Amino acid sequence: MTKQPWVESMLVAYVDDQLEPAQRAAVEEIVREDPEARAIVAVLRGSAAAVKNAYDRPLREPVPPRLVAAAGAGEPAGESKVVPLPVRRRWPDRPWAMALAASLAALAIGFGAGYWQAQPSGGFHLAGGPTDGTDSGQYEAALYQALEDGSPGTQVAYVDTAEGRRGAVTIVGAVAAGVSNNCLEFRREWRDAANKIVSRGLACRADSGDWSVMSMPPKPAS
Amino acid sequence: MLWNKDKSCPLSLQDQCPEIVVTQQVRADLVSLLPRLRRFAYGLTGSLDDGDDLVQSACERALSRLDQFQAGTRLDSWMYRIMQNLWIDQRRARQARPEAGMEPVDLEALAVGDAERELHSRLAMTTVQRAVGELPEDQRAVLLLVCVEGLSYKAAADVLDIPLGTVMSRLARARLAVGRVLDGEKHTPASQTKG
Repeated sequence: MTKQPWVESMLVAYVDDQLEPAQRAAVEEIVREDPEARAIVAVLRGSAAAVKNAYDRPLREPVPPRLVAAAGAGEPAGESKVVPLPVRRRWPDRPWAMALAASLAALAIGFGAGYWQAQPSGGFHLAGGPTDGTDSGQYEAALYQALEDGSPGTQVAYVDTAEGRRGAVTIVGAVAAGVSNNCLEFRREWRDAANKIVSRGLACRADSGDWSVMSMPPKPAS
Repeated sequence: MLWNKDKSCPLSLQDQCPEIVVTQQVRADLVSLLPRLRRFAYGLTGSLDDGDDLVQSACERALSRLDQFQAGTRLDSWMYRIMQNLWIDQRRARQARPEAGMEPVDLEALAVGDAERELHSRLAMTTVQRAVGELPEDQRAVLLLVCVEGLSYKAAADVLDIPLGTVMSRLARARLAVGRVLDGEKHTPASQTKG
């Protein structure tokens, strides 16, 4: 197969039916007359057929979620400015938060009127579950302030002079609990001379307006 | 707050709303293109994992440069171009890497198919992939765009920003090279091609 490159170009275009009618007729004649051109046409045709479906595997498999997320699932940057209703973020990758939110919301509904309304109005209650035993008035005030703001990224810092600690509470975002629409995930960090601790927690607001708060076990930050 | 006629956009943000609508449309279109983009990336890189990394980078780059996308033009062509450019950049960055690494043949997967015919077709497929993997980058891109993605010569020329004649000559060379490998595989293990 030692045809001139331009001949091969014409032949490939002929095989792929990309030629103008006049050119096509001319190439047809070459192919008819020249056995070598016919051999090249056969190879060009065969290799195209062989390649056509060689990379079809991705078409038969589901698209990985990370690609769907990269292409379209994320929210466009300016959207929150424009969309009139707040977009409720979902956290499908946080089953613990979903489960906790559901149970907290159920707790709030279960005890509902009787228990929660007995709390001082506008306050919040640290519901069962593991806490790190270091809750202070300053922390509670910071948490309450952050929850009242409620928007993701809100951070309220606090200083606990009695314990020699400083820390901050950051709102991570809303959690779709299925039962209540008023659950927020938050993140708490504090440090003293010896430790730096990070913990996560969840707060759900009862109809009374009170917050019930549950903290996950803390772990030392690296 | 005051709203426009169809209540889709606050008046104070009127200038930005059409852009946001376009952005959302492009994102939706992009998601539906993903299977084909993955196929093209698989062909370029020779590996599903590397291909998916490439698709992800390309989506991120595209969405960060949406202002460069001309509404009304083909989104797939634009994405193919971004992917090809990213891939060339990556290849330049890691020169040490050999030509498109092929995934090792999965012997277990080969053994699972009980029909002998399927075994043969899988073996044939890896031969084709190896042949395509051995092509120079510029030939491989043309070959994949035309023969796998089904683009016209003109569309492929636009994606790669090369003249139509270059598309044709690269495509012919790529197809003849692949054909030689397949032919050699069919007849004898040794390559007997001349010239």
